[in-house]
Amino acid sequence: VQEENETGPLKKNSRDYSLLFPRDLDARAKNECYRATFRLPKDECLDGHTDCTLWTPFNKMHIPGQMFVSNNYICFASKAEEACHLIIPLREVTIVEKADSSSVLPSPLSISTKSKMTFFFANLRDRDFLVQRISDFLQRTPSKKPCGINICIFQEVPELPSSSPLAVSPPSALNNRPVNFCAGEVPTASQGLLKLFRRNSEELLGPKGAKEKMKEESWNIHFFEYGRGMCMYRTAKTRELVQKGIPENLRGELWLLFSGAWNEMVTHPGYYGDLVEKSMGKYNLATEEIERDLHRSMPEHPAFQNELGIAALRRVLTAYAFRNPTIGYCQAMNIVTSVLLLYCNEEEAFWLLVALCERMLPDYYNTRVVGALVDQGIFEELTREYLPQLSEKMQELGVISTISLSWFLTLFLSVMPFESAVVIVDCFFYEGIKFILQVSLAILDANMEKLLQCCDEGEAMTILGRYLDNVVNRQSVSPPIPHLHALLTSGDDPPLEIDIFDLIKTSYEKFSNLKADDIEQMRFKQRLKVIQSLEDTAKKSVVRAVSSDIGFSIEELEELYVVFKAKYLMSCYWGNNRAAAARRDQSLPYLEQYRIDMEQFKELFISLTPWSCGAHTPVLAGRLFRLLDENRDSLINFKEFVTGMSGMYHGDLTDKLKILYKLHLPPGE
Amino acid sequence: MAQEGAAGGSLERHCPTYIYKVVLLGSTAVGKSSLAYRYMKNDFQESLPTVGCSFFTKILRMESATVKLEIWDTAGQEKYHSVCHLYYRGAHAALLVYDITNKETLGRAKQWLKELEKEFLHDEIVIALVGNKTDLAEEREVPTEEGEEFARSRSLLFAETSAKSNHQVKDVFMAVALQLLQREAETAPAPRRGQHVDLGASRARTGCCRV
Repeated sequence: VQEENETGPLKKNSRDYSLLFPRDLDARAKNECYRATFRLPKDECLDGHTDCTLWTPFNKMHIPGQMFVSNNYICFASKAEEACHLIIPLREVTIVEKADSSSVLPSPLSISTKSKMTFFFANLRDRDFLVQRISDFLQRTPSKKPCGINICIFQEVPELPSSSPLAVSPPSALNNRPVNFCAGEVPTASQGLLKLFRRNSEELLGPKGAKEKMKEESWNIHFFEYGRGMCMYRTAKTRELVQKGIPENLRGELWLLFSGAWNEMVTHPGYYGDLVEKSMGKYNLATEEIERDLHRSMPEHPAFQNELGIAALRRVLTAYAFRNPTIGYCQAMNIVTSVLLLYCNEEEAFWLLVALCERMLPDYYNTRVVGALVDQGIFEELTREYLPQLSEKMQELGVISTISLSWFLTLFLSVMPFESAVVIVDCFFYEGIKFILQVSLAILDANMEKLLQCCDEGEAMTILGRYLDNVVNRQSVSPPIPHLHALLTSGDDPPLEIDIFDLIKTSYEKFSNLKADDIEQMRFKQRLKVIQSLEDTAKKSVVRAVSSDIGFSIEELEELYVVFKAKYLMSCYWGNNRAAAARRDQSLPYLEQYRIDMEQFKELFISLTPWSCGAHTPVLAGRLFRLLDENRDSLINFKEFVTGMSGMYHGDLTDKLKILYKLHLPPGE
Repeated sequence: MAQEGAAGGSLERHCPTYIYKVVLLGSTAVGKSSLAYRYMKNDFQESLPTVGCSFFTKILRMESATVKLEIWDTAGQEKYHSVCHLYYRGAHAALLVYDITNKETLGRAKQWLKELEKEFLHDEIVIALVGNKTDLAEEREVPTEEGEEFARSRSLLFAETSAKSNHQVKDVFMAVALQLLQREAETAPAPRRGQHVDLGASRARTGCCRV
């Protein structure tokens, strides 16, 4: 209950779920799972799902699976997990057609898009109802109108449309966008920094360059066979290509697709530009901290050794802090964002950052980095399950909690050489957090023997640190960027290099049976634990801070703290005083986080005081409150509260008389 | 105090190895990582903000003993505050770092001191107050005397340093190591807190045979 602040502003907007098909209790969970699977925006709401088949032209088969329909998307997931995923934004749909049932399969349905792709579904039970729902949603799809495209819902046509093989959408689809932010046009409005700062790399001509060209060619073939853009068929083949490392020229485009950031970007045209304008010239704690970190985000890369790159990073981070003040700015965001900016223009990098902070790495960058602690808890749980003998040892050393925080918060960018970590980012955008967990397990596994032999935390830290420093990407076409960390952990022996692609391959071989759904479940469980332990820490810290010169024992103080906090929280949730919620600022020291006002104090006083005096009790309470409220802000914290309580319970006679006397003087009176 | 490295071989019998955990605490961008980097590599460079923590070891061979410092460099941003206790747990020494050109950071260092005082007994931990960035003398906001006076009043070690121009960085770590050794000597006859130095167990932590 306590932590509603941790979820960010967007969660509060989520609607009341009145789902049509799944009326069961886990509708909400299903909805979340749907959004996570297809990386859809937070406000997307699953309307229903139904079994069907999808014609997959690349292997000429009808594959069984489920179709999902929500307010802005139609998605498909095959029964066999690897076979095919499909995401069709309704804004792209031009034609939904009930084809003739004289075709081979019953109840066929075809959906065509602006990019001239056509998808054939069949075996749809309740096809009429489904089409009705889809057409309802299509009519409400806002982005339709300006485009001036007619939506045709054909009710029944005599014959199956000549099965046009999917046309490849124009490759430039992702790149030709108008730029409408910032006073003057800046190059980073339309291009990634890497394009602007491509160092004359002879690498591009050598064998590495050839390899890179081959990768690009594989993707081009993939685009031809499976389509390009949001509606591409995503299959095992796609994953295979991602694992080989996305070619530099395609990174931006594919990151946007796989993360779903693309959807949010195209449905919010101009949003980033407006934010930049609004946030310009405003100062607060977040902007101050951003400013301090701009030059230490990717200092070794030429793109960030000049004002162009720095200014782009400043704009993106500041705009985000303004979009979401709950997160504001957290160190680690600068490291991640600078990498995004290498491959994407500012607007794209911004939406990728949104996808990370609000969907893919939920609560990671909030106050107290709760989300990262949650996933770290999952990592510990998985280590127990998959590497039990090591888990025991690690427990003893306490290493996991110490070292893995940065792995998660920076997606390995701060701990591995850049060229290697960026491949991890490729896979992460495709797979989600599951991949980070999988690689983390593989890293522990690879160091198992050494770790089992170490005698203290420090030694284990050194082993893992050196391992990570020496993960290399021999295929990278970019001139290598010095890895800062490596300089510190290098030892005497020549380092043993680990190939990033081997590491990734091993992680799939050994740990790919992790399921994204299970991880979501685990997140839920861990979250409660993490919050509980943070609250315990807060309680202990507050109690310890006030315990001197107070008559109560530690146990009594802890109980009083619970009562005090409950009073505060009750008023947040049930009281008409919404200001109470605003009163809690988590960046404050623990003691100042919960404070109560006079009304709340009166209630506590009446139930706790030994000085109850009938009708006069509330008056007495009011006076004591004013006396305790030293800074006169009409709120008292726990320390002031227990000082008052302690005076009544444990003061000697003189103390008590003194209090009573003071209650009759200003400010008490 | 630190586990004493019992003699690993007869040769080292008179030169024990001590392993100490030293933690760097302080506001963001005061130069914690730069101090560590200067100390480790004798060089200066802009470093990334620390996320969570980083870890380094440094071995000092002194006359009477070998000291292995395990240096834990922590994140300075407030958001990471709640995870910092993971890192200072079991520390033998702490460097509270502030930036002499930013008065607020001294206040934050004092808060860290309060927190440490709650966590450790006075003789359990060696604490040094470190005012960094003396190379930016013209922007100074905290007079040397202020830091010095505060440190004296709380019996902390004190130094002003510059990671950039390599001023007193080595010295501050050395002073901490010396103080740790001195405490070791004072408490040697009767191990404090009733802890026995189990030779078998602590041998593992010995650097002697492997360093």
